Amino acid sequence: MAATGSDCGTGGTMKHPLQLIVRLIVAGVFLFAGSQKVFNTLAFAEAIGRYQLLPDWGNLSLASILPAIEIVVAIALLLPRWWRAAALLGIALNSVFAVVLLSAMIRGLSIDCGCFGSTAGLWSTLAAALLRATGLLGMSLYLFLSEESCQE
Amino acid sequence: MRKLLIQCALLVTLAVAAGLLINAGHWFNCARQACSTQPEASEFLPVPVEASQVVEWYQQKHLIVDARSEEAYAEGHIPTALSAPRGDRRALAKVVDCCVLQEQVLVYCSGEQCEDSFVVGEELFHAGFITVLIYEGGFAEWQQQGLTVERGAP
Repeated sequence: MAATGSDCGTGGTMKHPLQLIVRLIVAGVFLFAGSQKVFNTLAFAEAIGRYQLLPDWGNLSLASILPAIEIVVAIALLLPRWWRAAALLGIALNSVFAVVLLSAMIRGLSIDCGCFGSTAGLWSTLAAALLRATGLLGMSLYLFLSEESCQE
Repeated sequence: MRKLLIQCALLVTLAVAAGLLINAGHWFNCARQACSTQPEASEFLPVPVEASQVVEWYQQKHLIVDARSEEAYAEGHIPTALSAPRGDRRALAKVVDCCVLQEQVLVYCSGEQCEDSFVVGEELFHAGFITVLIYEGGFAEWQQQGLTVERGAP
């Protein structure tokens, strides 16, 4: 998945169209997810509450912070000097999402994932959300590792 | 790597500050009066409906769920109803997957004596449906009134 040495020799991200496309995809998903929830905190807190993992104050804290983190990560992914840090945060976020979704599936919860605020049909089922989180995790890993190999 | 971690910390700090600032109003309100974000059984308040409202409901192509057994469903059910027998998690997940976006659902079972519509309705409520209507008269009253019946397995 890492870029080759010869690719790195010719310069920056703009010369790696795949890298740019992956950055745009991950940023787009994070931006959409964050913007759908950032001003609907109480509804999102209730969605987190359906996972039955945190107390009320935990649900409200997470609902206050998580959409803002998603938006900040999305914007940082589009900035030249910041996108690798954003990719690292993307790895952390999607790993946590995947574990939480998996735990909900194992516990037999039949809930909407709450990923995009209000319900979004098939896109919001736990299985679809887990698939999406895994895909985004793979893309974030690709971004993080490909840039590292270019620097070394 | 150190620079990268510092950048991550800065991004997270910025996001946390922005998130708390945007939601300062919610925190202020919740400090004054308890805010519950936990799903509780007491929050489930189904709306009882009559047969005439069920007719309007299916004519408008809204979601109807039959909480009786698959066999009872196959022998006859309200037109357009989906089958989600009580205790059948797979059938319930199918209903949630296909239709949770509609946010409203009408549930019925055999009649006024059965509780299946209430139990399935509560599960659908916790799965994300916002409004749950219960046809308490159930399939028995539906048949008594000579209303249209559909037959066939789910």
